[in-house]
Amino acid sequence: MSAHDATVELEDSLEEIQAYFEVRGWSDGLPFIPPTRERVDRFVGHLGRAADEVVCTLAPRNGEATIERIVANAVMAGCRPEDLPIVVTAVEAAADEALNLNAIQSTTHPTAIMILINGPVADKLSIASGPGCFGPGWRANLAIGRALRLCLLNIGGGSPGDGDRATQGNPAKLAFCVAENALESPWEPYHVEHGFALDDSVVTVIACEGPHNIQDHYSIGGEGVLTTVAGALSQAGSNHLLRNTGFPVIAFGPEHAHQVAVDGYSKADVKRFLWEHGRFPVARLSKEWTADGAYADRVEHLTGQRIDAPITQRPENLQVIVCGRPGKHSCWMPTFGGDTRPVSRLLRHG
Amino acid sequence: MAALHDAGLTDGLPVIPPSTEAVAALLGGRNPLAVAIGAPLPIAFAVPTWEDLATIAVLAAARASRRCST
Repeated sequence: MSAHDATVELEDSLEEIQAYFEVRGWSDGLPFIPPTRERVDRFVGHLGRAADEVVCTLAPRNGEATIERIVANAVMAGCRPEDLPIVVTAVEAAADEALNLNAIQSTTHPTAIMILINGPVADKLSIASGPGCFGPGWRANLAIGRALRLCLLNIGGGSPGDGDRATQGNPAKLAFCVAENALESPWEPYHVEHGFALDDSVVTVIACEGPHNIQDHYSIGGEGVLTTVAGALSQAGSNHLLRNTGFPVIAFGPEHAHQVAVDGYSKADVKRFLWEHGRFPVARLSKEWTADGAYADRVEHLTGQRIDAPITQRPENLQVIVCGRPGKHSCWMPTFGGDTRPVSRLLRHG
Repeated sequence: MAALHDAGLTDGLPVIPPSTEAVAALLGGRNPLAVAIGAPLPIAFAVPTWEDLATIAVLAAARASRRCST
């Protein structure tokens, strides 16, 4: 594919190219844009970085993610040249040891990697934050999210059944990228909460499951909505409940967020409420979890009581964002658990 | 590809262009104008023909070996 990577010559037939790649495990199974020499060179030129620059290595294969390889996968995913700085930044963030990519790629857990975009670049590149933002129809979201996944497959070696040992997998592993709807959020945006300036553009990667819907059409006030959300968080079987750790994501729809905020809840108040009420009864856990008393000991250490288990150590661990359009729905994304942390990177060339 | 995206005919991901040959291969001799599903599909309440279904299946990269049957 360059002076550094092997080039293959194929007939100018989309179907033949798709089949050639598919047989070799070089695609995610969906149609892709062939990463021709001309396209890759043109996109690398747009990015303005050396094709052979090694950005990072990607586990579990520890493949070198050069600019050229990242670009080739971004081309396949359907990215536009202007999407490339985000893709490169997301790949770099995914390789940060705090995300724990080796475990993320090779676990049996169905964790995907969500790319969260904050700041002016979201509008500039039409990255959806509103209606149906996790779903179909949003080219930038899908292409950017898919580009990271193809890099994880083709450079990192996270192929299903091989490098990727997921028991069942997850559709969010195809493409998972969203912008925060800062305009309709009553709270400070995620990136500002994490120390960036309002006009910074920031790329955050979070190793999490796909969205789990939380509907509440009946509650009128903020406490009611929060009670429903807390009830959804307190489910058996999430990685958070296993060791009461991690950084789960709650994505409020704008309507729920406003219901909560208008009743006086700051983002910190929301986290406190959800941490205190989003608990699972220890007595309803499997006996194998609780027989030796260690689980209840940890619950007592964290909360001062042994009855209800929190999903993480402290309220601040809960990651709160706002996205979507009006409607009585929010969602949450359990993460891989305590062995991964969100990683945010300033976008330097957006 | 860009024209298909701009026309709102994709889900945002790359697609296989539905050429006449590709659609015909998926139809496998079926009457393209015959009604494929006897009920209108909300929310547009269109009644899809076999050609409609075959065209969409090509976009999604379905193979002729998995063509629709009655």
